[in-house]
Amino acid sequence: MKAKKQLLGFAAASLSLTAAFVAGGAPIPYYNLYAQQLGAGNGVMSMVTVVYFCGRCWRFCFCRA
Amino acid sequence: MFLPRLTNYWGRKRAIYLTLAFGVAGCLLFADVDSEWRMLLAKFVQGLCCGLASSTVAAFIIDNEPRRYKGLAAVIIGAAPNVGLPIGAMGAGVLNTAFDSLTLVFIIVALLLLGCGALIFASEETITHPLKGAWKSLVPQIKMTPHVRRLLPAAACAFAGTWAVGGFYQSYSAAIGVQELGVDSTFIASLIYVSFIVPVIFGAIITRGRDKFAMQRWSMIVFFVGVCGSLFAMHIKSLWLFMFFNAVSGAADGAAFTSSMAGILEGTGLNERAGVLSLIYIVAYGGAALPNLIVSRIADYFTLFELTEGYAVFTAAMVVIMLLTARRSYYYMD
Repeated sequence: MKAKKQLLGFAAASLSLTAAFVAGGAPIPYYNLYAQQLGAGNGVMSMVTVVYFCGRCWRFCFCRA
Repeated sequence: MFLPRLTNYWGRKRAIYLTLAFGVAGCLLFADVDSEWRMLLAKFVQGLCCGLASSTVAAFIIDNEPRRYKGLAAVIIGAAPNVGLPIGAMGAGVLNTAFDSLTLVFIIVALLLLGCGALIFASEETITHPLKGAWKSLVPQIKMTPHVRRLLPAAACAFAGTWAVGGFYQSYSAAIGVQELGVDSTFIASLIYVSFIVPVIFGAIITRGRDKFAMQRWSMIVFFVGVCGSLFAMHIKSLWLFMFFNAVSGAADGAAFTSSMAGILEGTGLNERAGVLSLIYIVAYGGAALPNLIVSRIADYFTLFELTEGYAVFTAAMVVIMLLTARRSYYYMD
């Protein structure tokens, strides 16, 4: 029983990790459409990636030295 | 490897719920983009989700690794970003082309994340005695050792050079398709991005067990050639050639990152690893974010072709500094 629970946790976590990046990848093909719809220039598309990197950086707060 | 700190205080499951909640929030924000700020906030929240996932969820994977499949956890943690990102991008391209909707993919991904939450709920918590004092755990730990100090200049060039260009392609894969190659399709946009990101895995695989010093140099030179090739493909407006050179750059990116990382980690003690990794990632993210921040300020005054030229020059500078600062003896001293 314990082994089954462990396997469930393993599968659930593996799927969750992949799903987080699926979410991260989804808007990438739409950036140009967003910029066109909002009447924004090319700059906003770089800025989106900069804030994404800033967001990802927070993980260092959750690592143990 | 790296045991996340906050989850030792909160318990893994609670930290994962927070991670998935950020992911769902990002999807809801992207589902109806009506301003630049909303777009930026949405991507920031997604960044929080992906960054947290790489520590909180990764820890839960390690905790639950079945004894029969020793080593599988590390493989999954390493591969998940390069598997998830292309699936998300391709899904978005296909769903937009098939149903002419900019919202559908985010609804589906939000449901997927909620489903993951349900599976996590059904799983067993692995931290049975959480520590007290969660806020103290939020201070990042950065560590520099003499071994890392010698290798860092060359590695930083590899990280900054490849990640900056990776960030550029992430930003502009759709826009390059439309503005430089004349193809207005979200499906092609997703293919352009995927042509760069999928070969990263192959680059990482072929690097294993090879001479790190030589791999680092050659992969960076190949990376530079790839970026120049993409530039040439943009010039002659060939989509397929562009994707081919994207793939070359992607594979070289994976090889450069893996060989640089292996060089640093192999001479680093287990108890220093997490601090050194924090340092490396801060250099990598910083090196990627800074050029892209500058580009975001000047992008409206240049064409994407000219911006790509700028990245080629930046990559060339990184290659030259790397060739000058790396010494074979640094890698094989101990």
